[in-house]
Amino acid sequence: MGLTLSSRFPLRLKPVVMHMLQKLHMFRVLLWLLIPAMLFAQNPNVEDSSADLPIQSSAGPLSMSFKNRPSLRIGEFANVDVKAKWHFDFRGFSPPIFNPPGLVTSLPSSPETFLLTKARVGLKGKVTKYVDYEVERDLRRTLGEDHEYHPWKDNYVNLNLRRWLQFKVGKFKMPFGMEETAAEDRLDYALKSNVSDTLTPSRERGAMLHGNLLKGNRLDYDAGVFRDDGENSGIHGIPTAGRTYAARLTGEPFRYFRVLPKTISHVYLGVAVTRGRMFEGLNGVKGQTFSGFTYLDHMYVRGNRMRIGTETAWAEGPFSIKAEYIHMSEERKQQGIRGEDLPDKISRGWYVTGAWVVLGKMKASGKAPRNPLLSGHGFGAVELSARYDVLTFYSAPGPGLPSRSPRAPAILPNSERTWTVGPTWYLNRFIKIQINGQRQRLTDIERKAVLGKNLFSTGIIRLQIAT
Amino acid sequence: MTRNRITFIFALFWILLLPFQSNAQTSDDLFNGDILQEIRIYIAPQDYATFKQTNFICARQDLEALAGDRISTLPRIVCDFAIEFHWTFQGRDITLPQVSVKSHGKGSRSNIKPSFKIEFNRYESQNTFLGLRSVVLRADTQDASLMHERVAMTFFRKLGIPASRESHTRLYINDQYAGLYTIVEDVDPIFLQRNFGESDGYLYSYEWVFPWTFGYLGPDASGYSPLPLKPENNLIHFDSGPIEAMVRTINEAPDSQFSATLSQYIDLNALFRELAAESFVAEQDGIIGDYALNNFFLYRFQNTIRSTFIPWDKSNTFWAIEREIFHNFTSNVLTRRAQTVAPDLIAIYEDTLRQAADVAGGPGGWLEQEITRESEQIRQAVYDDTLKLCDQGATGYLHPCSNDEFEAEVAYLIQFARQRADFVRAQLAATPQ
Repeated sequence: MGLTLSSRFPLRLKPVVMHMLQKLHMFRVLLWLLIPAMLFAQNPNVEDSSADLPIQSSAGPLSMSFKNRPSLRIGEFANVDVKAKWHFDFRGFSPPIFNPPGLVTSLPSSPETFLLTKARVGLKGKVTKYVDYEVERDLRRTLGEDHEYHPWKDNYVNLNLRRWLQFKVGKFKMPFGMEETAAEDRLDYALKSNVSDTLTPSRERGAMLHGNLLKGNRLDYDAGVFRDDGENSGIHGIPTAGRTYAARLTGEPFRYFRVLPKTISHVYLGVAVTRGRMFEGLNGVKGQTFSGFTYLDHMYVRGNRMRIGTETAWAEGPFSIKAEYIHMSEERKQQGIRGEDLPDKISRGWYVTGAWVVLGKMKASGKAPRNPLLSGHGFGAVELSARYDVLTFYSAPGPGLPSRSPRAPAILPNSERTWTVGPTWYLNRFIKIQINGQRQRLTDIERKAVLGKNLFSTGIIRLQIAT
Repeated sequence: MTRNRITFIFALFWILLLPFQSNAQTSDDLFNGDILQEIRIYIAPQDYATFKQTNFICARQDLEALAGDRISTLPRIVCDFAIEFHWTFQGRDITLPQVSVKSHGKGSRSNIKPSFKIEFNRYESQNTFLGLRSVVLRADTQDASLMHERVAMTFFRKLGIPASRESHTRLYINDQYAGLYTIVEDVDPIFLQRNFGESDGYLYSYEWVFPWTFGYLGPDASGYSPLPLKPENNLIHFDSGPIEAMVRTINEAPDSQFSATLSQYIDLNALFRELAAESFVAEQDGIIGDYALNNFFLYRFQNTIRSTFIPWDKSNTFWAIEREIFHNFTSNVLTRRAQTVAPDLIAIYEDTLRQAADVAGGPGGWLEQEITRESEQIRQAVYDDTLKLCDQGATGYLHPCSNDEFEAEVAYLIQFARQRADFVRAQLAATPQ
């Protein structure tokens, strides 16, 4: 006898209809939530060359200002800025199939063309000069997406005790990874590299000391302890490692040497490390394509997860280059089929990215074009960028032939090599459009991604609206 | 002189190779019914505990996802586990260090004595064991004799019907005796290649999700696949259009051209031979069983719209000695119409029943000899199996099975073998020509 599904089977259309209704509802809510952003985007006063000065709508201790975003000020005592970040993606995949996130799939699905990939609103501000704070939440779960496991984003309080001594507590990005810790509305690409997505920890609850050890950003430090190992290494929102320590040193150390040319003295360098104890089980980090197909599954782990990362960046005029290298090791104590210790699983990745502002000019902050469209009298700015990243998984040599088994003593290596290219059009401070093409090549075509396929392509057009 | 030297060298070479040749293993050795096999698997104890926790969830989740339900990945359900596989062949230990196991079965699932599907190619797609990609280790939890499956499939093959090869094995898990199991050849591309000389067509397994008797479910092909006909290959482009056309033809083909029209879609000769074989062994849960369609694979030959049926899961065979030969014929659209308008198909059916009766024989015939041989081969292993379960009458309640129940079922099977052929012949004689 088979299992009884007869009550569900004739109603197969029901989930589809419900899904469409949810989408319609989502668009209505979206429209309401975006009205403020659209209004500000059309305000020509906001993006003048002097736009960074506050524009006050009223005088007195309680005032509203519009410095890039709506802001409530209580004299010199405190301010509350309203933030919003919205990403609307149009995506296409080749092969034209994908694994929808957060769902058990028996067969590959046809991908959705339109995706709402970010829907964040938040508050950010200061209380006196000693306290910064931020509260941010992603609304996608509210709008019907059920796989947004961490709707609360940056939620922290930061105490500015001294320039060299600040204390941050709450939930925020762990100090590891240059691309990962960059503001998400300022990335050069629609999607971060898989190196960052897979090997960095991202946000976590914890406490951190940080500050500038040398003036002028010549040497900054961060050192913190966190409850778990960050959202990126979690599986379906569940952490895979417990208390994790992280530390990072960054800066422009060549500025110390005045004899060096200015171009070289502005080279940025950084090094970071994390260490945390993993929960025993099928908790190793996995590799997957942008279309959601797993090409290296989770492996059984037990012991410490350790990351070491180095990063560098250089910018001169319209050109910039960034690179990062990350090495992660995961211990597999007593994880053999017969309980024997297995060699550590190693995940290693690096990327190099270059960007060139070919049309228009960006402000020094890099946040907005100097001559914005809509909010000014210009065209905005167009940046061309290209990135090459490599992510590899393997293990130290072990007994027997290398295998893809999650308890293999010697892991059969697999890696992906990805090219990402495309222009970004910064219309103004609030709106940018990114068109990215990605080509991912896997070395081991027998992994279960899509059997026999080793080339995956993704095309993305993203509209970003952020205040 | 030179010729003698060459002959001598060849003879010497042959003698040297002889020991290796005699020890070369093939899948025929694994399914050699003359031997009670021995298989040992090693699995991490925590994995085996998880296996038992998720044993019932994995199959249900898979079906619900196929039905279009949105199944969250939370909580995380692990369904595949790495094992070390050992097969003892002529006293030698043949080992595969990293293969995969997952639970197997539908209504017969049990955590006391679970069934397993061993996938040799899960971690290496080109990996095979004796040329096999996977095998099923059936716990035979619904069958007190633990022999229905193997005897029925052996009988089918003897009738020339493509069916899985099977043998019995003692199974040890982490060196603990886990009971007597049946090794079942999986229906996969290797099975297809061996039986049909091709494997690039479309293979579907039938999943029982509602009682279906080939009634027309409408023009939407998605009503037929991925459920109830679950694609086993070509997962991205599982072309179910020909299935809809096949079912439409079953229902709507003109009476006068029923066989001719339907034969474009189904190998009717093979189907009615299989139906007859199922009928002879009194299959209660087969293509025209008591629960409507169940327990078969459908294979559509490459570059055609023509399909054939492949039998699966024969645990509910030998249901009753006096089970009528046209039992359930009127409840299934295809067999009902065949009975009404296609005497050619009924003739195939009846001829095969006669052949089956001849092959099985009466007292002392092939079927009785096979049952006796198998029962003697497995008796001690069954007695040692303290986890064996049974469910006489398919009540859905699996209970611990005693050695007395095993002996009683063996005695019943022998009685079946002695009397069934005469009963079937009598029914055939009574059928109007």
